[in-house]
Amino acid sequence: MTTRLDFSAAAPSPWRVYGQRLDSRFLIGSAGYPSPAVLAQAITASGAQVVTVGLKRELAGGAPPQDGDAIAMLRGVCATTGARLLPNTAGCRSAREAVLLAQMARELFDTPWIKLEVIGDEHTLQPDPFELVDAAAHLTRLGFHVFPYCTDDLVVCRRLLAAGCEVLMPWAAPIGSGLGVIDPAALRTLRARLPGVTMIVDAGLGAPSHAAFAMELGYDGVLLNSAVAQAVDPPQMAMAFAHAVAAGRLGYEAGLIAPQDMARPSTPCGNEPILVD
Amino acid sequence: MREGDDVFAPARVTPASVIVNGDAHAWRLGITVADILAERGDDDEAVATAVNTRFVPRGARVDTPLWPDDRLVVFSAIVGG
Repeated sequence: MTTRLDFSAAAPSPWRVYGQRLDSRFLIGSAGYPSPAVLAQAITASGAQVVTVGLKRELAGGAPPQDGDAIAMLRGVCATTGARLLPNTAGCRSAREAVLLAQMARELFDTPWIKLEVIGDEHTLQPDPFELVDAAAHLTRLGFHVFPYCTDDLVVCRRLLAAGCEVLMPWAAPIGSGLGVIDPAALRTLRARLPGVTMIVDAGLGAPSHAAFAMELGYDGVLLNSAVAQAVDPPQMAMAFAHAVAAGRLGYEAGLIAPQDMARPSTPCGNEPILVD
Repeated sequence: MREGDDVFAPARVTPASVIVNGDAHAWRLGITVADILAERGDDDEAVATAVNTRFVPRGARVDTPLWPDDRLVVFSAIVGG
């Protein structure tokens, strides 16, 4: 039986997102699990305090929603754990669509939080930066707390901040790819140039080590779905990611040593060779 | 009109409808968003609506009439990443 991760022994520092204090830096998606029961176990095991959800057109004829059981289970788990729901605008291709979907999400999930997705390419699911910034500005004016899913482009990120976003969610790699951080230099640059901004690495992580790496870069959190949902044992993988996220953050806060090409002896045995005869 | 058409034949009238999530739904004068949801059997609290790409809040559904060819979309919560 997988149990919820206990952060009390070695907890990274708490953080805030739109004024909300969070202790866990692992945000988790709710799609693609083998069953609602496994979804509930995985979320509990993850210790996540933020869980993403979506919206879909109702089936014709008043048929019940496809995910009714999973959503009911999810709401129950969140009520127990205190986790917040973060609805997304997945499937949107324009700012206009995203703004409309966000308004519906706010009503359905009773939250001003919105993970803003506006996709510009079908193969990579890369965000459309122009529509994204447009939608972010509009939604901010409507009182939303926008979590924009974006690339690691520094200038686009600045535009999103100027549009009113207090959080950025740059990708590690394309959604569902599991590639891990494909451009570490870009994420390092982004972190260095926007030192005070809350940033969550979102999408493309496939292994706990990927999450730890992203956290070691100084990112405030990671959001992922597929790597847990599609694992052989989702609850155990959720726990693995939770440990990795916490470890990466602890390592970042502890201060990583600077890498160098040449060796530096760690044992203080002096510079003289040891003569054994 | 094309050559040979019967100009005195009664015009064929297509019943007026509104489009709900892509499907035709019979229209009548005064029908509202709330009426359509009730006729579909939707749980009012479990869906969100928009007409012609404009959001219709829950409290406004009963006061939002629909007209022929209006497009109503009904969304519900699903899991997501």
